[in-house]
Amino acid sequence: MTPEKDPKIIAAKLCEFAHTNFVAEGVEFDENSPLSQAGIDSFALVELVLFCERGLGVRVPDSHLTGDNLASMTSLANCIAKLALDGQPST
Amino acid sequence: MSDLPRQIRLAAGDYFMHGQDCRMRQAGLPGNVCCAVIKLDRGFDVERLRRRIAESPIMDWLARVRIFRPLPMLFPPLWRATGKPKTIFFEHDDSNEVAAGPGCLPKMVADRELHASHGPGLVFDVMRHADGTSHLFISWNHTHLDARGLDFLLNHLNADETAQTATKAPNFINPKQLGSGLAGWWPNVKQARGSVKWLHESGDEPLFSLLPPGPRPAACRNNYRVLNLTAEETARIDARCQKFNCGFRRSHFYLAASLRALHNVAVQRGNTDGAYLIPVPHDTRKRGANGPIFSNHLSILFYRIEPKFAGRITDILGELSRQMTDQIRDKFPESCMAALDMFKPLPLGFYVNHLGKPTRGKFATFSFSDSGETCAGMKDFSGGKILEVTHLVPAWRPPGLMVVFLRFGNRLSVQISWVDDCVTPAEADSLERDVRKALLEEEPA
Repeated sequence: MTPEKDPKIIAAKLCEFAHTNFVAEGVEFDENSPLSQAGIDSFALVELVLFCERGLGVRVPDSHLTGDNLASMTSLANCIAKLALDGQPST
Repeated sequence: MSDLPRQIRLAAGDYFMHGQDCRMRQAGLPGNVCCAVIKLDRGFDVERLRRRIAESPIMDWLARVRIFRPLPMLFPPLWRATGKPKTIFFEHDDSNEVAAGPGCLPKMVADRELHASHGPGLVFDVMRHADGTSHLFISWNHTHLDARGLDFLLNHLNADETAQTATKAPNFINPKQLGSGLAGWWPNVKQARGSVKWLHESGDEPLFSLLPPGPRPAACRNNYRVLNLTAEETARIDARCQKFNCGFRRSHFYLAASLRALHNVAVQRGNTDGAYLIPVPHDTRKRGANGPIFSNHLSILFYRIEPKFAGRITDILGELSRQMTDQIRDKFPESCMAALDMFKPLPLGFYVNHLGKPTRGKFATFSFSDSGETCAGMKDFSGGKILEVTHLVPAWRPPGLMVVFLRFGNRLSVQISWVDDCVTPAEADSLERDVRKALLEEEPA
C-alpha cells in the first residue's frame, strides 16, 4: 500500500473515520476540533492509530502520540504526512 | 411517552451484570447494587426533583421494568415493563448529623434491596442536614444502568421542562435492543471463539488471587474507602499522564497505579509468582451524544500482566499499550461482546455457574473501572450547587477488590471497595496509600 502523504486528504479521512466509528451523529467535529473535547479516549486513539496503519499505510509509533500531535485531526494528519514522507513503514 | 416499548432485549452486558448480581447474593453480599452520592449545597429543591421524577415517562418506565424469563430453556431473557411502579423516591431528615462521610452510607440506604427481576432497580434517597446541605443517594442495580447511563439520566432530570419532554425513546434505549428478530439474537459463534480461547489460555496458572483458600464464609461484607484528590493534586496527576504520554490514555495510568499498589500487597503476602488478569470495561456509546440511558453498553478488554512488569509504572504502561493495540487489532472487544451475547440464552443458574469457569473462578485479579467525567457539564442539580460526587461500586467476589476512578470538575477521586475476607484492613490501608503514591510521586530511577 502506498502511504498517503497529503495532510489535507489524511485529515479528511481521519475525520470520516471518527464520524463513522466513535463520534456520535449530529456532533460538530471537523479537522480543527480539539480532540480532547471530542471525548476521544484510549480505545478510540488505538482505533485511530490502527486506521492509520490499515487505511493510510503509515504506522504511528507510540513516541509520536504526543499532546501536540494529538491536538486536532489537522495536527495528527501533519504528523502522519511527515512520517509517510520519511518513509515510515506500515508494518 | 407512548413510544417506550413494553419489552426489549437484554444487552449482553445486562445479563453479565445480572449474573454477577446473583453470584454476589450467593456469597451473602447485598448484590450488584451501586450508589451515587451527590452532596448538594443550599438551594437544592427537593420538591422540584420529586415532581420531575413523578412526571418523567422514562422514570416511570424504569420503575416498572424488570428481567423476565418466559421459558428459560427456550427463550433468552427480556426486559419487560410491567405492573404498577413502586415508590422510588424517599426523603429523610437528618438533624443530628452534618453530613455522611465518604464511603459511609446511612443505614436505610445501605440496606436497600434492589433486584433486577422484581424491581424497582433504581431508588432516590434525599437526606437533608441541619446545616442546610443535602445528600442525594441514587441506588441502582447495575443490571439496569451503567455509570454513564446514570449520568445521562441525571442530565435528563435536571433539564428544563421543554428539553425533558423532548427526550425520545432512541435517546433512552439502544435501537439494537428493540425488535424481536431471533436472527439478531444469535451472534457469530466463530467471532466469539477468539475471546473464549484467549480467556482459556490467559487463565493459565499461576494467577494472583486475593481469595483466601478454603470455603467461603457464610456471609461476606463490602467495605469502601474513597480517596478524594484536590484540584492541585489532580493537575499534578494530569501532568504525570502527559509525561508518560498518556494524555488520552489516563485510564492506563490509573490502572497502572492501581496494579502497582496491588503488587505491593502481593509482595507483602510473599506471593509474587502469579500474573494479574484484569478485565477493563469500555463504554461502547459514540462520543458527544446524550444516550442511550438504559442498559449496560460495554465491551471488555482483558490484560494479563506478568509480575515482572508490575513493579514499575513505565513497564505496566508499556504492556498495557501493547496488549490493548493487539486486542483491538484482533477485534477482541467485538469477540468478547459476541461471546457474552452467545451466552444470553443460557438458563440463569448455568450462566451464573459458567461466568467464572474459563479461569476457574479467577476471571479477574481485581475489577477496575474509569468512569471518566461524572455529572459532566453539571454544576448544579435541581437548584443546588453540586459540592461532591462519589460512586460506591461494590466489589464482586471473586475477585474481592474493585477500584473505580471518577472525575467531577477538576477533581479526581478513587474508590476502593473490597470484600472483608479477601483484603485485610492493613492491606486496605496499604492499597490506599500506595495508589495515592503511585499517582502522585515519581518512581526511583
